[in-house]
Amino acid sequence: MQSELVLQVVVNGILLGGFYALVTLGLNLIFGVMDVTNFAHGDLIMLAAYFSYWAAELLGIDPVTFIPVNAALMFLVGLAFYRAALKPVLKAPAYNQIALTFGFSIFLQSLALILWTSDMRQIEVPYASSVLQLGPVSVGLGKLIAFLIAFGFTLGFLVFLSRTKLGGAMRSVSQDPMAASLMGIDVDRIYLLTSGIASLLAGVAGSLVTLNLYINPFIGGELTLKAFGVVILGGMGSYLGMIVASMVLGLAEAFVGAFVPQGGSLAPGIAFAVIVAVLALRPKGLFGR
Amino acid sequence: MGRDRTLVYAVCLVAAIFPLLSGEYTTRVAIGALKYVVLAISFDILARTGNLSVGHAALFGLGAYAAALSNVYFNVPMELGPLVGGLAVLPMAVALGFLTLRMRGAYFSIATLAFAEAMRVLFLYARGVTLGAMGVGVPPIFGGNVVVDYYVILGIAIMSILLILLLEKTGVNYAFSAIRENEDAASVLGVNPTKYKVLAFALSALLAGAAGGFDAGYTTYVYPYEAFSVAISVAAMIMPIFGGLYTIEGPVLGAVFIYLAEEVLRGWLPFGYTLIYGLALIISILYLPMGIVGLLRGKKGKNWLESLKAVK
Repeated sequence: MQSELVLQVVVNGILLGGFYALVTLGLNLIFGVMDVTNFAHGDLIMLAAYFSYWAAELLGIDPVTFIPVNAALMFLVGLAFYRAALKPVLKAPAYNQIALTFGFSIFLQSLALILWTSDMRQIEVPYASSVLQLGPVSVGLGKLIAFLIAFGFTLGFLVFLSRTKLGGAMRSVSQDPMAASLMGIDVDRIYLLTSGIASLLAGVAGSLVTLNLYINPFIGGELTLKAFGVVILGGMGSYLGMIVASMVLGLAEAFVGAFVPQGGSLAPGIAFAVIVAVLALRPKGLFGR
Repeated sequence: MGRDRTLVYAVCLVAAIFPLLSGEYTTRVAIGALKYVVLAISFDILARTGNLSVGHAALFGLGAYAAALSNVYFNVPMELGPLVGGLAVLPMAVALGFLTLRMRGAYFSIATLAFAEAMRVLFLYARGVTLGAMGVGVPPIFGGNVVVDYYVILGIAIMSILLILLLEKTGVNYAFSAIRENEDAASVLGVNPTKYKVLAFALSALLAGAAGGFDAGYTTYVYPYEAFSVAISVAAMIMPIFGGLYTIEGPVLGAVFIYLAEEVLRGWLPFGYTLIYGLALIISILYLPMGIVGLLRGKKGKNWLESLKAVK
């Protein structure tokens, strides 16, 4: 009985962890390539979630079907975001980068409040709430779909990064922008595309949020902090570390939620506690240089 | 200089007799603005050592809870709330100062943001002590007399300004600037970064905790969602940046200006009046490197940006 419960919690944690990996991917990418900590990352996901909500409410489009359109829309948002929020502070001190991206975080949140108010919104997706029984474990279809899509995009992105010419250019810019530019890479264009791709990935994550959760304009801040928790645990700019840390966070939240009395209200605090604890011991993250 | 001094005296005079001239609503607006003046100065003191706190609500909220819980459990009168709030947060701030000592740039900001959120989760969870989401109700400070409340928060604001003047007079300010511009160089020159960073954290917490302790008695209720809200952290951060960091008048001007703008905007934009914060921050970083103060002082703003180059 107990072991079946543990198995169920492990499965829930892994499903959650896969989603967190995708949530973190865009933040990690911008940090790795541009060396900018984007405090507005979660708000881009929030914006995409509302795009998905609008598509469902106004046009009756299913959130999963809408993913390609949402990704394309968010890619364009990412290009604009680069021009407005990242490019002006690329070479600036950390102070300016934090303040400007944080300013855009509040800006996007306020914009969402004006457009959609602070009400909790949800899309009715009938199949998402159905449950699959796999032996002793029951899995919500919505969560399984979200996990598979998140995992697919994370893996697909890593293949893109290691196998394509553009991915190679992004890696070389992240290692040494000066050397990359001497090799004939247009660094500014790579930065622009990096921001677009990071935002595209946030777009996919935003679509998946609407599949399983209520949304309001404030979810961005919490997602940003969870993503920070993952990168601080896994190492800023490291992708393997990110996947492991996402799983650790997902499992930790699932276990605390299931086994600690009233753990459901404590689980969201794990990421925050991890950030404070890890940074206190290792001021540049667990694997920081 | 003479004109500046006249202006300062005029502002002091207006501040001194303001509640006698105005109605209850405007006095309440002034109290709100002064509360943020204290928070803005609190943020600025910490920022002077090069650390950007994105979680100032943690210090404010802990002060508010310290005042409210000491009233509920030990019958400490709410009139002592500002003192209790400030002093209770002080040892925690010293601990936080040591904890965050080696964090630089974005890591410090992320840690403070996470700490404030962690406090909210903790105070929601520990309902046996904190009464959780229900919040803690307390009797009003000075029987809810708005005019007296105004003078209490005005007193705290004046003490905050005197504290900065004291830092500048004693030269501690130079140690802060040296650490902000280049910590390694400062320590080679004999400035002990540990000592001054912890000092800045402690003074910053003293003010934010006092503001929280006052707010508990003023609003008569402390809730985790409000005491540790991101909105307070955001205001404490943006007001001094927009006004002009590392100056005396900057945080004051920024707090008053943005608080009033928010009051006006709230009327016809009930959702999303926080737009003012986002815009003020974006404009400050892109166009007003020294905030309103830079605008008033002329084109000296560039120097400030130069001095920041070393922070990263």
